[in-house]
Amino acid sequence: MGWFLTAILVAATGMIPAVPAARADGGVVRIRQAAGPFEVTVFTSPTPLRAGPVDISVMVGNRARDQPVLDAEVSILVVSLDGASSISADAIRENATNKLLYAALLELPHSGRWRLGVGVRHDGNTAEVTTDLSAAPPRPPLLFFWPYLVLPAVAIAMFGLHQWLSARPAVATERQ
Amino acid sequence: MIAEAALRSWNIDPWFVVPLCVGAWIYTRGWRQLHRQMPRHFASWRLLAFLSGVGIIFVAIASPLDAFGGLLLHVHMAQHLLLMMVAPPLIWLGQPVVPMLRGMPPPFVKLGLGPFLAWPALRRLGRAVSHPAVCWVAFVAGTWIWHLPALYELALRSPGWHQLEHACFLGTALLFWWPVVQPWPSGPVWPRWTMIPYLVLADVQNTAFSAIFAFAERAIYPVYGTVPRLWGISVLDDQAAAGALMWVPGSVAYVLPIGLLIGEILSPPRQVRPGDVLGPGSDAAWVPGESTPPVAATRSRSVVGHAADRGAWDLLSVPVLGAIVRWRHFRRVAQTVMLLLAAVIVVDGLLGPQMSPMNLAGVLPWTYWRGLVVVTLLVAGNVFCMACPFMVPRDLGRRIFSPRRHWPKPLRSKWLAVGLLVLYLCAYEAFSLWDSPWWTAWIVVGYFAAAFTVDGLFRGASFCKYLCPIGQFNFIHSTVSPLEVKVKAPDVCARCTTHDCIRGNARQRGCELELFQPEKVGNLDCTFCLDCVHACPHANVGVLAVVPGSDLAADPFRSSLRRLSRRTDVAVLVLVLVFGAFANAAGMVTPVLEWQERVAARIGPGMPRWIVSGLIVLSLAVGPVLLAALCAWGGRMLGRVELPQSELFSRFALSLVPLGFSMWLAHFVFHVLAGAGTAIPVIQRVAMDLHVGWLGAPAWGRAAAGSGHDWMLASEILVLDCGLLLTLYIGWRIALSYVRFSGGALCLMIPWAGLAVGLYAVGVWVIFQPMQMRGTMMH
Repeated sequence: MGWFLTAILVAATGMIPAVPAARADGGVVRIRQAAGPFEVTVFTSPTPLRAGPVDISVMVGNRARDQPVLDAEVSILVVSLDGASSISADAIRENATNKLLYAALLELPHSGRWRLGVGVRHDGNTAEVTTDLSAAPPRPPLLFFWPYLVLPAVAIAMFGLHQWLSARPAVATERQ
Repeated sequence: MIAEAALRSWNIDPWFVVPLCVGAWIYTRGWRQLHRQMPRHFASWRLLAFLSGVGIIFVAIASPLDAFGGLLLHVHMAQHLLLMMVAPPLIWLGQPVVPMLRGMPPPFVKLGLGPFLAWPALRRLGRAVSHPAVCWVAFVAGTWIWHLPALYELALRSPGWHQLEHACFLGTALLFWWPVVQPWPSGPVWPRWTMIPYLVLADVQNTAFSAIFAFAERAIYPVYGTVPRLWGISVLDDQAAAGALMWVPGSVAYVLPIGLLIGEILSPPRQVRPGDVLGPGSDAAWVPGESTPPVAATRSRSVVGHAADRGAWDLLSVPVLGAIVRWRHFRRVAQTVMLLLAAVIVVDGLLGPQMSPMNLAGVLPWTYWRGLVVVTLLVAGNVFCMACPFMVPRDLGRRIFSPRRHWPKPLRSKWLAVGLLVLYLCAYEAFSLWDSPWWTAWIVVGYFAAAFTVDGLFRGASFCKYLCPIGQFNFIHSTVSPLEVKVKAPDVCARCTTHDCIRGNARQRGCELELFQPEKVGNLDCTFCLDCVHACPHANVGVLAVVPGSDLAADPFRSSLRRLSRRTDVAVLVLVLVFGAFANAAGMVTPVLEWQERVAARIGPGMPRWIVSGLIVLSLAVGPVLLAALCAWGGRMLGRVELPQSELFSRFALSLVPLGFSMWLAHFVFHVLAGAGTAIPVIQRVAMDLHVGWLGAPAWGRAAAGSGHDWMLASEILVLDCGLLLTLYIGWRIALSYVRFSGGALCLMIPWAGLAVGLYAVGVWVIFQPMQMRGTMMH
């Protein structure tokens, strides 16, 4: 049985890197706006937006041809409205699960109001859209990692139930 | 290009891929065994059906269908159709119940799952849940409720709710298709013909459902009006397409089985042929809840299957690797490599820059070596003692002085080692050894001198057995290692009269730590030197796989150590190491450091070393011993056992080893991962100092500590979880060895469980705090 448990443990370790976090796969539409020759749609995740890791995904559409533009240069700038912090990143398609989107994973250092600006460059054309965001405080670590923290309690409960069930035929025999 | 981009939009999430793969693997194992016994009943197409069902689930969740579901409603509906109409019937056609049970080890099925499968309450629940009326209602309710606009759009916004939605679809669909497919060995609750109206009614509701989408004149889900419209598809066209998809292929999914059912009902009964059944009672229908599935209930070998014990896996029998480890000079080569590394550390520590992130003595031992030691203990065993560089001065001392004296009898215990360990941990913090390459170098030199002196004066491996703090760390924590040097066949040892494993012979010395193999239990005091392997004339000693922690719960007579229930020194050593794990980590976190600064501000500049040392002695030795004594007393009172308190103290203290080890592992591996690049610029610097320029100029940016990624924190918590669970399990086994009934055992164990949970909580708290990244350049 040792090989079986070893195999299960090894398989389980493969699940560890996939801790739920911003995964660069869309989210909620923040703004969808025509800007120059483009239609720019900006998504953010998670919902609600919180300080910490956030995903910003952008879809750039060609308004004339009504189809996505897949070779644009997309840049993102997020500035806190009090001017204290700013973060910038290039959004690339490789970061996105949906390869029609350009995505960047950013780390918002604190909660509060932020201004999001997205710049697009393609074939000599440029465009920019901006919108305001409100980031809630980050989820406490205990809530963020709750599945891992609850795991021992679940295992103990199952084991306790198992031990109780295993002892029941002996109890029934004694009562007879 | 757009199509190519769309087709590349896969989302491979390990959280569902791994369970799918594990499930498919278990099923396939079981199917292969059953196929050999009943080739007609478990034909190849059953395997294909099941694996196809699993594959369809993978496609539904991981393929671009998921990525585009938030942009196009009809794509999202295609995903749902696969989860609800295609995958579940395929899975049930694979008749997975018996293969899944058969695919798992029989002891796990019988002892692990058996009590649950025989539980009357679970059987009643199974009967209730598998009733066709319940299955139908659950399926229809799940479909309609999750397609209500509020819930549907919630699932689109939130990955967690989206996963719950998919789980509900799959779960209710599996219920729905159960009475339709009726996988063997289950039998129908209602007559088979009732499945025809069952499916017809389902098709009727599907038609109504689809018509709503197909003919609605406004968007049911406003969210699709806010996203870009791909390929010019309007919201209403998309919605109508979704309706059509659910209507036509959805109806086919209901109508096709109706046709098959009609054919089944009108066909003559099938003749039962040899190879179709398992044996007595196996052709009786099994209804979930009515009885235990045959594979879990019967003891027949044909069902439970292969029970022959094939013997433990032996590392030394692995091709190539086993030969390398068995090679007579392997250990010496490994020791030489470690000796060279130690020499390099000493030289750079004494002569190099005294900034720890820039010095090999600051980086190699305190960042890499500690992490590698715990990882090798986890995956193998006491590999460091096998490759210990201090063996060289020990051997030198023996050759020069030819000691004849034995280690003094009053000192033949672990008390000296306990004192040295506490002293070392005190010095580590009080003198900030991690930040002083110079002190680190002198510690290494001191270690060599001590090993040379002690083993030059006394016979046997006195330094290893009674003094070496690193050795004690490795001995204690190797009790949770998966490998153990042990006897392969006890009856061979019973016939042996020469006892070469401990006495040695002309070509090989015996065990220096006086471990007599037939009486050796576990890894305590074993340095993995393999002298016994080379000495045994019967090749009866191997490096065998064991269940980690298995020997901590028992109290047999152990060679050289006797009974651990009477070894208070070993118990205190364990407590120092366990509490040391948490104290060592806590001493690096911001809240504790800030508290130290506040205290220092009150006392005066710099925290006096004696205060630091005093705190460490309290937290490592005094406090843990008092707590453990309290637990022993409390357990004795609650459990009403007439046993010496010292025995309870000594035995239950051992149960804390897995938890302590998990904290060392989580902490040290975190530092290795966060500081993984720190050695590179230091090696470059050393090369430059030696006028070797091809490695390039030191890239000191790599010596900066990496940030703690979420997956690292999750890994640490998971490691702590495993440590806690193994500790509680071992404690339970110890309690049961004293008190036969569960209630009494629980009372005996409660104080220790409380201590373990308290340590676990401290560990979790430490993990969540910002930690001082020692040995790295600060950002």
